Amino acid sequence: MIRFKTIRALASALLAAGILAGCAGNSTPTSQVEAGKSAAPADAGVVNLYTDRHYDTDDALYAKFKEETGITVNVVKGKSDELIERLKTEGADTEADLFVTADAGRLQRAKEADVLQAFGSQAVKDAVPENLRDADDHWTGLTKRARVIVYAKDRVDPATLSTYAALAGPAWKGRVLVRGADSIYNQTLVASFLELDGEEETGAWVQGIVANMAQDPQGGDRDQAKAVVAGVGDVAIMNTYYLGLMLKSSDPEEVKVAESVGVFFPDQEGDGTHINVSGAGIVKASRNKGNAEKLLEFLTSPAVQKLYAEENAEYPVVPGVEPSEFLQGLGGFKEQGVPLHRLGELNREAVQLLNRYGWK
Amino acid sequence: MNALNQNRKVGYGLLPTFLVILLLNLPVLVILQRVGFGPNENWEHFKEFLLADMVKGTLLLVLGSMLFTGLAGVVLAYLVTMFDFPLKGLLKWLLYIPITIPPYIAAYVYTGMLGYTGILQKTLRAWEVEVQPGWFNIMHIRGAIFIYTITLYPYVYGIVRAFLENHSGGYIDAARIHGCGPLRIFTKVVLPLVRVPLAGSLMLVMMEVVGDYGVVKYFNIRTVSSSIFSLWFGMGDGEVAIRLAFHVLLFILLFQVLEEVLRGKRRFNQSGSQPRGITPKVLGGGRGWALTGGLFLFFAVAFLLPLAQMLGWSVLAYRQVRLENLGAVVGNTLLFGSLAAGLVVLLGVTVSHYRRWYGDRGKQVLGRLTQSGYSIPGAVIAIGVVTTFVSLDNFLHPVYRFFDPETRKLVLSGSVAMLVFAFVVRYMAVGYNSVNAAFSRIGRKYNDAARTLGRSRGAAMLGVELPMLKNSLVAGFLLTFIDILKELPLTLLLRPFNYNTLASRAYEYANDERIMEASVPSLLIVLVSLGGVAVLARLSEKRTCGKETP
Repeated sequence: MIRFKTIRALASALLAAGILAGCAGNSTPTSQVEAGKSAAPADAGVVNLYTDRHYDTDDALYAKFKEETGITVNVVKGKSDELIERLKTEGADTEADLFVTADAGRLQRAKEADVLQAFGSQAVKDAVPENLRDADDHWTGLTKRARVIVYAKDRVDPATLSTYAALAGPAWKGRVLVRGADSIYNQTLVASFLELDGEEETGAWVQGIVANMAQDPQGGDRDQAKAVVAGVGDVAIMNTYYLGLMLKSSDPEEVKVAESVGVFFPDQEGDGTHINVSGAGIVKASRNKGNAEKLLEFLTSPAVQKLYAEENAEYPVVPGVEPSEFLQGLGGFKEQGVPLHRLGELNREAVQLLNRYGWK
Repeated sequence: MNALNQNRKVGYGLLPTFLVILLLNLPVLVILQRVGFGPNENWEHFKEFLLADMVKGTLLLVLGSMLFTGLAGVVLAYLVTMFDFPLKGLLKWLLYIPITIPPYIAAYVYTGMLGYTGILQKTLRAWEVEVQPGWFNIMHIRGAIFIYTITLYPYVYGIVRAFLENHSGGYIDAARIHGCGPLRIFTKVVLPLVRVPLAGSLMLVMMEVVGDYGVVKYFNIRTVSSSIFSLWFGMGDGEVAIRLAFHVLLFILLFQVLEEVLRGKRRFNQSGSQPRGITPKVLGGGRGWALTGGLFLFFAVAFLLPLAQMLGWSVLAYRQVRLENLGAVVGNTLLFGSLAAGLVVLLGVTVSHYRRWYGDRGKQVLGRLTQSGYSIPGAVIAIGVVTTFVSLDNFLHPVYRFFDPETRKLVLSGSVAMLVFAFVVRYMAVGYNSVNAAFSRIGRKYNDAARTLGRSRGAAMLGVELPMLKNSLVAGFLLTFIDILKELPLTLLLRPFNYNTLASRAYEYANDERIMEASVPSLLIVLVSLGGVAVLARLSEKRTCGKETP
């Protein structure tokens, strides 16, 4: 109680400071919101994004969206988990309308945190295949990526590669490169195995990979590819799009690295290669739900899908839209069929497993 | 004069000081309120599998970084103050410049330079030198210590050098008269002499290392702050993360108290005689140039090489960097950085002014409470700040409605006010330290004198003391400003819609592992901070020439 009183006493002081700083600060969101209410008829309001996508071309797409619909897109870029935390704290009063992030696990986490609501748009449901959407329509995938095995072309015969499980076998001792346990992509990969193979088998796999690691996990996905070429190890588990980005890199050396590794889609005889999505869900307390749905429809329309996916060398989620040349070159593959929401539900168990068996 | 102090010993300035302290600690209190100690499965899991690794990683990093930044900082400060050598005036300031490179950027740049696709290995391959994989790998604890050393040593160097220049002349002259050589002076006079400023600056280094997330995340080293992140955001357990943050806070407090106890009441007030600068010894000929070369080499490793690499990458990649909003981005960075730094100085002046009338223990408590935001990782503070502002908005909602019946509820939260407030809480320690040092240095004598002439204490402070301390205040402002320029976690979590800073732009590229594109905004950060350092240099030159401050 005492603390509450002091807070109350303090409020006036804070208000003064707030006004001081707020004069300048408020202008960013408020002016745009208010402008949306009152300005010319061409202005159809706003949609406010909390997003973990940081690509420059996204801004160009938002500008195009504004051109077509008159709706202004406002953006807060941040890290997914922290944005979820902000959404939770802001609760019913948040300004956000749409939450965009990479990884199905995080989308599911947002759903479980009760900050999302179902979208109604039939167009989105028609466009995006069911397994790439949440069962209750709380989120939908927007782009797709595969977690594959990348190998040194000069040292590894792709015929010796088969499954994720085989990488945990004795033949690959000291040859496997992969990122740390904190990487959400590894967590989600392990979660998919938990769903398919159960805890015991997955635990054994984690142990096997840890035993086979060429070095302690370090760096990002690109660093794994570089380590393959440098000869630290022979194979790496990584996402396809990083290779695509390296091929587009401004550094000719990175392009060379990407060119000297091969891509192998594991588990083609079995459950299929692990896939994941980046996606979006409408915020529960959204005040511009209609606009948010329009943006979702826009992003899942074929022309935009192509651009949206191509920028990050990802697969479009809408069937019939062709992926980039690089991905077409890799060829088609059988996808893991795990319902993506399960990946989020099993995330914690996956993290615990990684920690238990010393995956750093 | 004593009577004059005694009758107001406790009462003077109690309310404003209390308010400032409360304001600064609100987010910390909000976070601490959420600490729970009940049985928790994730906590047990953390203790069983991660704790040992985390303690080891954190201790090695913190102790290693403190050792090497301390060593580099003190030795460089000693060389620069004790000797005269060619280009000294320039090098003295060049050595301070590495402070402008954020550690996470240095980590990316050095990894890139030394990695397989980097300039070094590329050149070696061209010469057909066989490179064993792992030779140039720096993504481990030793590598991280290296990165922290080259980016954080200026904190030590700056503070220790200023101290040596202004305070140690008498002792060193005496030692010289007794025939002590430079090495003996260093070990017997300089080291004991700089204990206090050294300890203070090493505390800053410790907090920076404990709070850093960028380097350890990229190198995949388990430390306190990466553990807090993976518990909170990876396992989705905020309670356990806060519990860990709480333990860290306790640990840091313990460390500070320990440091204070060890230091005891030792203070090096050279009362009685005027503190005097060192008369540097002229190093002639070859020896002078050798020292210049050595210092320059160090500067090259800490700054020139990474800078050259960033420049090279920027040339390759600038076409792929979107620069349309650059004006707004730089504007945001400058405007709100300086607003926050200004508030830090303002609040710092308030606390430092009143602090002079407190007893010793009161002073310590006050000092520590002012800096608490610095000992909690940025992202945790950020959550505390959001929570505080949402409650504040709830509380103020009727007021907002009075002005605009259709108002939204979250007016302050989600505005730049929230971000600026967070900056102030987090970086108070940096600015406060220099402001407070200045106020402690002049003591109360001027204030008392002005008071006998009929001025109130506040008026005396504003009219007499502030003008005297102008340079220190500007220095505090600039140090804080440079730190905020490099800041990341708060901006990422608290920024309003469409708000970008140079650091956030750098992060967005670096996060997608596009380090070449990231070097464009990173270079701009360095450039803007360089402006700050240049002003600092000018101020300091003026001070030594004009002798305007005591």
